Amino acid sequence: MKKIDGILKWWYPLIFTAILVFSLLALRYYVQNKLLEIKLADLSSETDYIYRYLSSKLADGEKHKKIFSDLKAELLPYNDITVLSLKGKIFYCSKRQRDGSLKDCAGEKKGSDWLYEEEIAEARHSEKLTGYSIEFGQSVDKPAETVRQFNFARRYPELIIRIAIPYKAIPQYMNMLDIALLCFVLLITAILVVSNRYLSRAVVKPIEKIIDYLKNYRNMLRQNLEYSGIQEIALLQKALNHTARDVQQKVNELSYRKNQVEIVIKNVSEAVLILDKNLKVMLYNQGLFSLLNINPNVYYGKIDEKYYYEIIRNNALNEMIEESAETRERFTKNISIAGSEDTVLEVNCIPLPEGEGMVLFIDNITEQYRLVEIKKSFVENASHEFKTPISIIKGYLETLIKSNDLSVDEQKGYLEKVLRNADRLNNLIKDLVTLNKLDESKGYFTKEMIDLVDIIEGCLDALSVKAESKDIVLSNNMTSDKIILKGNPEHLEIIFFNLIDNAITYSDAGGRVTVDIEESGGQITVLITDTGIGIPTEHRDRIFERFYRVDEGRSRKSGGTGLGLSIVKHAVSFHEGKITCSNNPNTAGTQFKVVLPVGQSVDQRIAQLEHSGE
Amino acid sequence: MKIRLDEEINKLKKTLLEMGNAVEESIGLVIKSLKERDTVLAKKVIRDDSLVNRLEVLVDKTCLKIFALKQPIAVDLRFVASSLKVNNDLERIGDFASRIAEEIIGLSNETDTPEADELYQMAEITQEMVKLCLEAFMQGNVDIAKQVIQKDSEVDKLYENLIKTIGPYVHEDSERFEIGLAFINIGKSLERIGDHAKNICEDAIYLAEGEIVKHRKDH
Repeated sequence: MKKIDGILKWWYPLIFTAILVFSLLALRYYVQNKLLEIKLADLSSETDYIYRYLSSKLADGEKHKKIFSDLKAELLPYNDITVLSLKGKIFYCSKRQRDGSLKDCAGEKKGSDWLYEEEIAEARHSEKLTGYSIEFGQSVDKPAETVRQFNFARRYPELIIRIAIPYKAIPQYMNMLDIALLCFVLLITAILVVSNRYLSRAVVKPIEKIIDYLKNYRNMLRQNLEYSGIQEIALLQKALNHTARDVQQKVNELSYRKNQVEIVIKNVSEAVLILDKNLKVMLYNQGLFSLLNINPNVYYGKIDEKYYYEIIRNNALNEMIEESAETRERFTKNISIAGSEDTVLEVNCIPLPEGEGMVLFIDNITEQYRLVEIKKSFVENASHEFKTPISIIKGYLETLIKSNDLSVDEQKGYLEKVLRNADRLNNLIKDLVTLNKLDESKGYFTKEMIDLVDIIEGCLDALSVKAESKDIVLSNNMTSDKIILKGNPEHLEIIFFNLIDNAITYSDAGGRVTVDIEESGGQITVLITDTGIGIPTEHRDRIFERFYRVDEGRSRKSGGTGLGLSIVKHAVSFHEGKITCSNNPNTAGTQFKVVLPVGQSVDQRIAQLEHSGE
Repeated sequence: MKIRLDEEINKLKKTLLEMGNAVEESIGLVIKSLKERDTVLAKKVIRDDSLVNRLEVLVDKTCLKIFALKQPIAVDLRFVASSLKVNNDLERIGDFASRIAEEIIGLSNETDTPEADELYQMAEITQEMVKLCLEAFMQGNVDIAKQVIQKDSEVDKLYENLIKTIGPYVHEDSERFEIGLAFINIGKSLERIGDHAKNICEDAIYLAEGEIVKHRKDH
């Protein structure tokens, strides 16, 4: 590729000069020929004159000598004059001497030799009747000097006349012409070089500027080009400025839209991942990192332009993306990630039309999933719990109806069993209703200021008969005789009745159930300790779940519904308290610890105590 | 058959990562099945190992195909050659995971097991190591690779502690010998998984820097 600068500065003048020189050379050749023709015609008229003179003289019959001496005066400008007959006989021959005089030299050369001279031979044979030659030779007198002479011959009907003149007489015009032409060429070339330099600067400079301007597109968007003085270039610059403004506008618009999209994506609660048509990461939000356990340090903080399989380290999810990309169908799937803690992700895979990429919405639904699982198992458990007593009742009733030979005692025994199972069903329904109430209507129960010691003592009283029948000591270690808190008496009774009842149920004969109460810093801690069978560590987290039983057989036998502790847990949390379970610190057995907030400031409570003491 | 080098290398990356995901998931399942004594999960881990084995063969084939048809040079050559080694390491990790699963199935009926927190810690660290080592390899991230190499010594220390815990436990009752042995085997397998992850990291450093850091003491 050639530079316009180079073309203008060098190639163009060079080619132009070459053409000029060539045409001038042609002209020079033409002029030279023309000059020669003129010279030849000129010399022809000279010889014509000599011929006419000689022929008139000869016709007059004058003497040879006389003609010669007369001619002398006539022919002064010429160096040599020779007159020959057509056959080669010399009539006349003269030669100019150095001193300027003419010398007769007819005897120096034979007539036949003259006939072989180039110009004479040509004149003899040419139809033009003329001939010429240019002769180079050494000067006779001065050997260092080169003599050049122009010889001309013309043929007439009976004789040939030859004239020789010094050569310089012709080329002196040519030399002048040559110098003039050379000067002309040099002048034109100089003008060309200078003007092209200017032209090149005028055209190339703005073009270079435009190139620089285009190279740095940011610049292009910021500033306008200055217009050049050349119209075409100015038009180009104008068009460029216009385009730049357009581009700027489009860029602004696009970046605005991109920002909008990014803001939306960043603020969506789910993790969002947008893949381009090669399934490389295009857009995402921060939620993605934690949800898919991506360590951004691995990717130096940026995951743009990575393939999806480089960042998503879950085969199930990757298969889903691939399937969606292939079939171009939307997928919604739950994917569980196993680990020390299970996570369940809901993934929405939405392929964009025309295979332009894919949008993934990923949400952590572990909690919802767990709740659904709990509900499912609750229904299963509840129906199972209902089925058992009903099938027992049905069995006994069927026996009673079908068998006619049962004794009264047997019938009574059967009916008692039916009654017991009916009671169990009743309990179950009551517990479920309580649980449901606690579950759904937290604001339904009112709280009032009540004495917790009073409530616990009531529970102990109610259960003393059961304890006695099992030979278990119920020991009341409560030191204070009044602890007021804000709570719902029914619920508090449920809590402590259930806990003490459980303690008695799961203790063997000779055991002991102790109740301690302590109050400090606005919190009441109640400890219910038994010497029973205890609860293995791995079950402790789950005993508060509905229908969860450590020992299925024993629990059923004791008439439990499996809902007791669940109800307790709900009731405690209704009071914004906490319940935990641990080993009996002294012997085998279990200790339940219930922590309840007082629900009022200490000052208020003191004031209230003083008031009630009055 | 005409293949494009970059496409083939991407395919190779994808397959290796799939393998990595599978073994990493296996380790996750193994921890869970160990904690919950869930033999169903353990059996799933053993079944899943066949996927890893199949992928290993696929990676081998892909590497050889690239060597034969494309004669890779420079970083591509290093990547394909390293992939062969990483492939081997991953397959071994998969084997160890299924070995642990077998031990867990053997332990399923035992109730008198030691409390070996070290084992869970080891499992969690090795799972993280397996995840990161492959990412370091794929992304050419030397820093992460060095971090993972450092974690290996943590795993080694935990393994030593585990042995110290199991020793007295077995001493108390000679009936516990088999259980103790199973726990040590699990620990040993996890420790070996850590070693293989470390190998992959060394390959990652070689891939990124062309420097062989194997058998050095300074890290």
